[in-house]
This record gives sequence, structure tokens and C-alpha cells, in this order.
Amino acid sequence: MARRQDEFERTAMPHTRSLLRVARRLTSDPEDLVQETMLSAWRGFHQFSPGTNVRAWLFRIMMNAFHARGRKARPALVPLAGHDRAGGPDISVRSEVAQAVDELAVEHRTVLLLGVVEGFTCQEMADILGVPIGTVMSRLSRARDALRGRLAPCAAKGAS
Amino acid sequence: MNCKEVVELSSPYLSRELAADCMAEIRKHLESCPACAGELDQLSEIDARVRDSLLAEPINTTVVDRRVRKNIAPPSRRWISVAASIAAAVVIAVTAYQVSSGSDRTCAAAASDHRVEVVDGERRTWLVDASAIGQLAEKQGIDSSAVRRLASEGFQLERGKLCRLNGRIFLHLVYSSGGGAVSVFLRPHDAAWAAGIRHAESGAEHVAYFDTAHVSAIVVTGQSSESATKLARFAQRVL
Repeated sequence: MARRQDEFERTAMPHTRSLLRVARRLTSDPEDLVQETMLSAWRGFHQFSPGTNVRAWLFRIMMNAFHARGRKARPALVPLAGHDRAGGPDISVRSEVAQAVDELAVEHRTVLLLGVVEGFTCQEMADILGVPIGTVMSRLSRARDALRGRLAPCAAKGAS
Repeated sequence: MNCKEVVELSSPYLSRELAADCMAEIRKHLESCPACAGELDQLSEIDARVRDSLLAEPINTTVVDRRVRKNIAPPSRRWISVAASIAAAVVIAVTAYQVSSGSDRTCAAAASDHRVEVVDGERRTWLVDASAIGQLAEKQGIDSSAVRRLASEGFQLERGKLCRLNGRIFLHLVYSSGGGAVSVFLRPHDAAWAAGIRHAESGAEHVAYFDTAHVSAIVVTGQSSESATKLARFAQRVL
């Protein structure tokens, strides 16, 4: 029991940050969603094959849980003031980018978060979301198009 | 590869998950097509802005991590130990209460019998023959020689009968000495009382009670608690 717990803490727990980063842009109770995800993963941890992609496995669990919940209302903009980081984009740009992402349709937002922010490939996203890879590519393309329209003024400002 | 195909494959191209020959074909197209190259540059820039912005946001996992660890942790040994200690304390307290309250009631009944039947002399049917008392003792599972041994050291066995104290049958023996009558109540040892001689007071009667390996005994006298203790020690030795 303790050995299994150690293994879970070593392999799965480090990914709560990524899960929470995506969950906070999908639901109003991200911590509950991530907790539910991790406990579900813990219950099924004996079925997980060591060496396989634990991160994709956790995200698949979370997206299933998210859809099972019926997609609760997404949050308002995450407050960012006072959390600027040296080397990161300035607060006004970052909040505008975050707002643009939050305004995307949830299907588009999800693939953008998984693909662009978390670095999953289209095939991995297809496995996580249980949809064909063509659907993922299509959603990602639409998400980028929508963002391009919303972020054009900022892009111009950033280019000037 | 034409412009439409390049745009369609822009996502897997940007995530570099296309086959090597497909990636090479797209790169070749981009070199000769400024429109597609500009399109993909713009998409790359958007990706970079989104990635930089969202990855820079602070994420606090403390609450979630704590909740998860709390749920997956086996019950702590410390809490098991505390629970066991509490359970043990409750058992001890309940047992002590039962023993204490039970022995108190038994001692009070013995003192009452001694007062009414021995001191006040209320009429009862007694056996006065030592041999008959010995047989009665044997029937109750008490060694008759123990009855005789109690009669040594200045005590004279006067009479005996069965009685019920607090729901239990005891052999009530009355011994006399120069200091007056003493009641000794005996029953086979049932491990109900704690070791050592214990004392109780009930009205004018002084009570001492104890267990040996074979019997539970109550000594009642109206003399003093010291006398009750002294008699109990003697009885404890010979029983």
C-alpha cells in the first residue's frame, strides 16, 4: 500500500500543476475537478502500465470527468495582477491573451490548451479526447483563427 | 503540396508530428510561398504568446495536493494508536465501573446481612455443625478445609448458611473471637475483583474483601477497619 502510494506520488502527483492550469480555464471549480481526477487515477493506478504516458492518461481521466460533470460554467478571468514574472509578457498583454482564450468555445479552448500550452501532439489529443485526429486538427485550426482575430490589435502593438 | 494542404496540416506541422518526408514537403512549399510562410509564422507567434502567457500564470497546487494525499494515505498509525488507547480506556473505565459498582453493592449487602443476621440476631436458619458446614461448603465448590483453617488463631466457627449477595450465592460463615462476631462470606473465585485487599464502609460495619486463587472473600466486622484488614490478611493467608 505504502509502496503503491509512493509510486503514485512520484509519477502522478507532479502533474497536478498542468492539470490545474487547464482545469482553471475549463471549469469554475478546478480544484475539485483535479482532485476528482487524481483520486480516480489513484483508484485505477493498478491498471496503469509503468513507462507509458502518465500525463496523457491523467488528462484523459480529467477530460472524461469534466464531460461527465456536464461542463460547469467556465471561470471569469483569472486575476493576474501582482503575479508578473521576470522574463514573462507584461500583465496587460497576458491578461488579454488569457481573456481571448477564455472566450473561445470550450472544444477549441481545450485543444489549444492541450496542444499549445501543454504540448500534446494532435494524436495524443485525439486519444485524450476520444475524437478523430482530423477533428483535433480542425478544432485547433479554428481556435488559432479565432485568436488571431481577437489578438490582432495586440499583435500590432507588440510589433510596433 | 498546395497551399490548401499546407494550411490543413499546419497544426501537426507546428507540433512536428508529421512524418519526415511530409515535413520536408511543407518546408519546401513554404520556401516558395510567402503567403503560407507568413500564415504559419503568424500561427507560431500566436502559439508562443498563448504559451508564454498561460505558463507564466502562478498555479498553487497546495490545496489539491493536500486533499489528494489525505485521501490516498492509509490510516495513520498515530490515529490507530490514539483510537486503540481511547478504546482501551473506555473498556477499562467500563470494567472498573462494573467491578466497582458490583463489588460495592455486594459489600453493602454483606454488611447488611452481618448487621441484621449477626449483630441484631434476626431469626434465620443456620447450620451449626462444623461437619455439615464443611459439606455445604464443598457443595458450593469451596474447600471445606478452608472453613476449618479460618477457625484457627482464636476464631471459633459458630454457624454457617448460604445467602445471596447482589445476585450471587455466598457461603456466610460466622466466627467469634474475644472481640465479637465476624462474618466471612465465601464463593468460588470468579475473578470479578481486583487483586489485593480492598476496603469498604457500610453504616457501622467495616468491610474488607479480596480474591485468592480459589475463593472470593468478604470479611465484615463492626470493630474497626484495621480489624477488618487484619482479619482479611489472616483469611487471605489460610484460604
